[in-house]
Amino acid sequence: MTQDRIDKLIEISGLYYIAGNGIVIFEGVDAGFYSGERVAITGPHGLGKTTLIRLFLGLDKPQKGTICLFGEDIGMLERPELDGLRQGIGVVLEDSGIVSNLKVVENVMLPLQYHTEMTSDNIMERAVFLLDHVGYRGDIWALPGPLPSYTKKTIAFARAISLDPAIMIYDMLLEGLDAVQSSEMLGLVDKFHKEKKDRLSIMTINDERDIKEITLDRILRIENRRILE
Amino acid sequence: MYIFDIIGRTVLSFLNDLYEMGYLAISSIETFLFHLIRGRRAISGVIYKQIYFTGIEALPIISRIAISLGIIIVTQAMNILPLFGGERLIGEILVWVVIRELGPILAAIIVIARSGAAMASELGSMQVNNEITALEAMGIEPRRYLVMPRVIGAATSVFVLTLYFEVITILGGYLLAGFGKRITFGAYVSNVLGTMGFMDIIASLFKSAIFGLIIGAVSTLHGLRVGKSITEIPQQTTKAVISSIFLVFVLDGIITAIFFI
Repeated sequence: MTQDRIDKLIEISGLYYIAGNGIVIFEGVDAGFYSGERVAITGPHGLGKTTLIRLFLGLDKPQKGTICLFGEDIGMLERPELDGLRQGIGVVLEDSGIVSNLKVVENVMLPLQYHTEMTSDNIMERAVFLLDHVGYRGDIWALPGPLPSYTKKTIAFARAISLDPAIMIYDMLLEGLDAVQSSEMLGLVDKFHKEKKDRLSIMTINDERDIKEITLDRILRIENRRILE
Repeated sequence: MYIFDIIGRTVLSFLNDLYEMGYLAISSIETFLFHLIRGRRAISGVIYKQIYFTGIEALPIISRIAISLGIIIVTQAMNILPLFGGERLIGEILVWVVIRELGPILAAIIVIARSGAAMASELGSMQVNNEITALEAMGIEPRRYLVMPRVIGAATSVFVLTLYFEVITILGGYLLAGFGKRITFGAYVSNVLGTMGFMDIIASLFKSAIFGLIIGAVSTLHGLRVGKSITEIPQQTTKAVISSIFLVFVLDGIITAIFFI
């Protein structure tokens, strides 16, 4: 794997972050994430896995240190530029983050409608293809509210992959899923990783034992306010 | 000293709210007029939906209230005015009461009750369910995609609903309460139109547009203030409704003073 490392897609230098409640989450963290890698970030609840994802995405700002996405220091970017970089990242959140007032297919169409100039027919065609690709077999015109957690996550997968991003981030993907569903989710992670050459896949999990089924290049552990390899 | 502390905090909080609402309303207009290129297809869809929910779906209740108000005003006017030979004052009464004041205010209150509360609770629920975080992660700015379409949709809806409300109140009032009385329909309409000045129409429409902007800005602001707890949704929804009603009345007073004093 090491020889295939070409680009550092995410780079953290001297990261220092204090949460709103005054607790220091990260102190002097340095880390790099490379194209083509499959990385898991582990650690018990409350140590900063989701916070790290939020920092990657520029949703929270560190008190000290820099985070570079695709070589750009996100702390120096204006909002439109940051939004531009975010298009290169597909995110599946713990509770899916599916927009409840949009129908299933509209959720998948949203990033394409917002960020691309594709025709409406092409957008619809791609959204239907992606839903099929992730194994969604329900009504594409249903509102997602009553759907089970696993199904919502598959829709979130389809939405996250819609812009063919260079980085896929899965935050606490396996939370609330049974063993069979977890296995299917990890299958999707694997499938998506292989679909695009040099895609970086990052997933956060509580316990390393949950991801035995998937091949990983690195497992990082958040411990004592640092990221350990 | 404690009481001064409370008063000071309340005043500062109110001024901060006013600033944020004003900022949301003005930035929404600016984005709509000058920066709608990025994400326009997705945003246009949200604007159309907002106009449908806030404007078109409000037509039945607006019609019922407008007709009821028209019956009340026309009945009272037609019973009282002839007692002192003032039938011709019906036009003045309708213009002063309906067009200058009640049209914009009642349309705004109906929109606050139906859509202001809905907007605040919808955005609050999206906040709790991490939907807004997901949008941001996708590079979709909530102010462009969620706030601006609701503010513009609410302003457009209140503007059009006010016009509709005024027409239905005046025409419906005569047809149901004034028909067959001493004044003919033609005389009634020409009386109203003859009394209505340019400033009456401008003031009415200006008020309605401002009320709509404020309702949209206040409701979305309170919706986005919901944190991670579901119990905050009803609290912020109530605040959105109360603040909207309060601001509509305050602004009504200010605009009336500017136009007619």
